[in-house]
Amino acid sequence: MSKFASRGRLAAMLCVGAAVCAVSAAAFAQRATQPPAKGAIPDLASVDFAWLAMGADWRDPPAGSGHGPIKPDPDHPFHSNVDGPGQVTIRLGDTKDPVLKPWAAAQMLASNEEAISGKRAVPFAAQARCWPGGVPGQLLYPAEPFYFIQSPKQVWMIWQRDHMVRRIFLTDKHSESVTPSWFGESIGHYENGDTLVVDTIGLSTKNSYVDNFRTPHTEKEHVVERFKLSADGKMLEASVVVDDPDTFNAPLHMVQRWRKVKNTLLETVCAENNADFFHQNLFPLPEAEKADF
Amino acid sequence: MEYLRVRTRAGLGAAALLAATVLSGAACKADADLSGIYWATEYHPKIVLVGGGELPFTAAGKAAYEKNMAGLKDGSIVDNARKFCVPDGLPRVLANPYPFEIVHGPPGQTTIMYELSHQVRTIAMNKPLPEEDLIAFPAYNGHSAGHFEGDTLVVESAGFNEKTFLDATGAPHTDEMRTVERIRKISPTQLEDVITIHDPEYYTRDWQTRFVYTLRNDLRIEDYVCGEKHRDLSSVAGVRRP
Repeated sequence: MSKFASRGRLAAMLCVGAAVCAVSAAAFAQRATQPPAKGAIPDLASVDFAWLAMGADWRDPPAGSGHGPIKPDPDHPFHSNVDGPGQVTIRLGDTKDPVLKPWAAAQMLASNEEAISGKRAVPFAAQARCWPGGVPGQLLYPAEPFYFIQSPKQVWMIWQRDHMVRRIFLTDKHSESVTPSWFGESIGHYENGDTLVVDTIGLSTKNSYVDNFRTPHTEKEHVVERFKLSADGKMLEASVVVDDPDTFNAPLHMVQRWRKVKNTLLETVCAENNADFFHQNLFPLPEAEKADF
Repeated sequence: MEYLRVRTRAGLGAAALLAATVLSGAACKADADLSGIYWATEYHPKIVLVGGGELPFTAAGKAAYEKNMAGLKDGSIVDNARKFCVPDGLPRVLANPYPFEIVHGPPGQTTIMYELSHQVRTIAMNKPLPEEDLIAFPAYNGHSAGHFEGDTLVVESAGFNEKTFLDATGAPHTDEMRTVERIRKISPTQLEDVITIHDPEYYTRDWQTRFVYTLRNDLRIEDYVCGEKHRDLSSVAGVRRP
């Protein structure tokens, strides 16, 4: 058998009905959605693994980074249902944090009082009530993983819970004018072979908070996220800077972490079985009064 | 052979790359590239059968359809796909008048992301359907497995729950429905999806419906939240906004 025929036959054998394929590195780089050379960009995307958040609250940034995330009100410490024994409490933010502009502190205070009074026994959390988490709030979704897809021009982040999608365009300039939207406009690039840097503007404000303390923002919000893969590839850490001169007196710096889990993407639909079973006046789910079409 | 030569000459890097390719089931050189953003130019609330005519109901299917239609009319059945924006299911999601994008990735998967209700379909490439998951995890949009036959992406889907309609009029299906889509470019700027529905409890035979989409890489998929204002659909014939 000639060398050509045997190569062709091998290619046919490998391509048909199997997960194996003989492609040249160049063709692969051109059309597939993985990096052109191992180590050039972080390996974040796979059908076999995902990223599971290690907590639903922001971690402190390294010492000296600047103002950290908003903390719980010291008079109402937060005890989560994974914090060990003790009465679970709700999240009430520290409205006295001097980084907050007066309007933001007032709004958070009203939200806290609404919860304390029992008027809305469980305060709003985007993930629980099927609203987009926005940027950077979506990063705080725990319990269900998120997945990356990486292509040469774009990165997608897909959260399993309600299949929320963030899109990051691997370009160096934002659009001339950006209409505000739930996840804004994200542009990004890779650094050092282990980091994805994302810059986001154009974030709408409806039901949008930067954390689970209902800390608000305006349309001027500008977020920079640096997603860094650990050396062993098993952990992802995002260093986040939230800059909004109309909401905060200084940028906020915070950190979130995920661990790699061997999960395939399942379909989970937030609006299912999401009624107000215990009559807590939960925040309404997104609902269309009239059919969209 | 060529790939072996690459392996021995280019050293560990290329070998590792090829190994990763091999293990992860990346797109074959022979596979067509269907990636891009697509948008229908027409919308039909009622299924249009290939070959014309009406849906070939069994007695049970006809009864289920009449029950759905009556319930939708008097409000006792809620169209949750439109009211709470739960996923539309197949083939209804294929008919929807919002753009969608096809991405060949991550390796071993084709991902279709719809603007409508930010629905995501993951199509496992070159693998059989996970039969145990079809019963354990019935899904609105089912479970999908795909492979290329020449220029055509063939997608088999099953493991549907019974919470969706086939179309906006309430055409019914059971959780035993199985579908096969044949998706291919019919021109440089047009994508065709012909879907075959197999659901013998409600339909006396398999039948097809067909969708054609225009490639629109000038668009970006937008965020969609139930009940909020969305993009202008006046370019899609047949859309009536109540």
